[in-house]
Amino acid sequence: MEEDNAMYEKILIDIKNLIYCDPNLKDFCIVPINENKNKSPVLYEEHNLGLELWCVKYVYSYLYKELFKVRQRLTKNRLIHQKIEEVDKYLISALLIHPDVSTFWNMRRELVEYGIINLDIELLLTKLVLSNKSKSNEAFAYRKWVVTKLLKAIPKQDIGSTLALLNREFIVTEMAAQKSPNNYHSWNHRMWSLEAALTKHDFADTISYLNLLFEQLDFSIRWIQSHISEHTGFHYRQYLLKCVLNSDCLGSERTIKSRHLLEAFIHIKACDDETFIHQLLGKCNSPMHCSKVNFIILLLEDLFYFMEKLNELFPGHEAIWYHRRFIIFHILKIAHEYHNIGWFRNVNINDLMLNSNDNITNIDYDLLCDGNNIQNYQNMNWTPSSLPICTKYFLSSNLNIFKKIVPPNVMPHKNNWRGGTKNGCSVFCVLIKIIILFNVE
Amino acid sequence: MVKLYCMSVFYKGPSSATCLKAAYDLQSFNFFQRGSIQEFMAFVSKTITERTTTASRQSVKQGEYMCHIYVRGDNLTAVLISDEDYPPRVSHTLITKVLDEFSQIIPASSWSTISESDVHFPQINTYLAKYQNPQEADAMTKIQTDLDETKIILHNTIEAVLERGEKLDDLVAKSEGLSIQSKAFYKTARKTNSCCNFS
Repeated sequence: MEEDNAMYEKILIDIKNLIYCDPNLKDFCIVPINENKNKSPVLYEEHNLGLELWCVKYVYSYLYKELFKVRQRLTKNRLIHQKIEEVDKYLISALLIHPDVSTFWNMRRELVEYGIINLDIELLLTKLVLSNKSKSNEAFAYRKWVVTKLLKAIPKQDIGSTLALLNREFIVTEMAAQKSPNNYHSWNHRMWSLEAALTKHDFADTISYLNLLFEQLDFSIRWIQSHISEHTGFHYRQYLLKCVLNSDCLGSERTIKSRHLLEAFIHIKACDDETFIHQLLGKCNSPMHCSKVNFIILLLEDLFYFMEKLNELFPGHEAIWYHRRFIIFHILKIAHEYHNIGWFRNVNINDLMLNSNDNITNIDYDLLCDGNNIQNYQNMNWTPSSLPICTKYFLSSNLNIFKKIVPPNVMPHKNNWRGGTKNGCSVFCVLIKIIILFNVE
Repeated sequence: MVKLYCMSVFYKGPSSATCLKAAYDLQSFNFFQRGSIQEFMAFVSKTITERTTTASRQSVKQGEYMCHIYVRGDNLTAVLISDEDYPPRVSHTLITKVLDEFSQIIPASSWSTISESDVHFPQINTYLAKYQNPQEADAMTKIQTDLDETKIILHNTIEAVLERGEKLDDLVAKSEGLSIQSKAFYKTARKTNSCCNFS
């Protein structure tokens, strides 16, 4: 028994020393080796840390007992210094093996509060935990707590340090998202970090925030290309796109580039944002807010360029069509706001019935799609009289624009019916229908 | 994920298949498990090759992995293990391309006798790296549309490829190509995947 305990202590010390000595540790995992070959079960190679499976059971039950012996005294801060360092050692291994015990994380919080351990070690430890269990909610919660502490220490004018901190979070969340598919915990943490940085410095209106968003948008499209069926990646992109709306900053070279790209697709020639919007949505008395101009350009770029490309390469992936739905919804919403037409969600159709004198009922809905696809649209039971009045008005005054927004190549075209796309495509049609008829997201 | 893990060229002899060349990209796996995973991919590739009839194409889906195989009329075979999201059409194009190039460089007469270490065919690594991004790779090979996708036989598990009465567990236990550590790894992986786990 005594001998065993000495062995466990040795294992725990080894792990602690490695973590304290190598700040570049990349990865932790429990290696499935079932037999004791009479050598140390702690593996360490090229900045990777591993623990052999056979010892986990014994080590964990040992440190579990030891930790709960001191739990009460630690809370009251009645431990001698040496003992506290031992607790640190036990906690490191306990959390690496089993990160879902909140008590252990709380004990670590206490150690931080007493000033025993330094926050950099905590960042490293949570990273290692996440490299093994990438969906551990407790680990993310703890990391948030640590990052909040670090953010507090940064002076308000020092945006550079915050960006460096943010970058570190980006790296960790990307790693965690890479490890398990649809890891919403990780993406939430990423969004939270972005928001925390924004609240801290309140720099939404500066070009550096916009550039940060553009960088992230570029990252997200790269991510989506290699994780095509994960909606998390698309969700993050949608979040970023909406963030553009927060920023009251004139578009940079990036949006000008996107605009030029778009001009080729929708045959609009415009020298600046204003004429571009006029040509796209028609003239209006009040100019459009520049954040919305950026937003709409980015949405259209996604719709015409990226989604087309992705759909061609990966036919039949539903996530792409859901992203299209998001884009169309927001374009329509912005167009409504631009023309100052009410945009209701969940409107009651009966309240908005048109009366017979209204000539808008004569809209030729077949104009909405090109000749080949009329059949599909007739199947959708268009009933003009049941359209909400606002949308009717919008359609009648902007029919051409609507045709541009929902261009023939996005409409269910024959080529898009191959393979599994059929589903995604029909879902998409139904969704457009719902958006137009009911104004729901 | 859209990813290629392993590509190997085999010669399918009358009784068993011999590996002529293999390339791996296992960066996304844990460092200490890469060795076992590599052994497993080699094992699966060999097993499937031996169970595919000459002059046919197959695609086998196993969990989140896809395994594409093409045994040519002259028994030269290529196996590609990818993620389930990787476009299958690009996978099969790559297989055809690699086999064509392989048979140009290594003479057919030596296939049945040559050993893996004597085969000099570094292009296989280049291809594996280049095709990680199907978008770029596809642009180059777009003209090659002679692939008849309807002729590819699709299986939903590895078990479906095995012969009657064969079990994967038994094959793993009997295999000489797998180390003790890899067999333990297989057992653990089986256990963790056998019920819902939230890790």
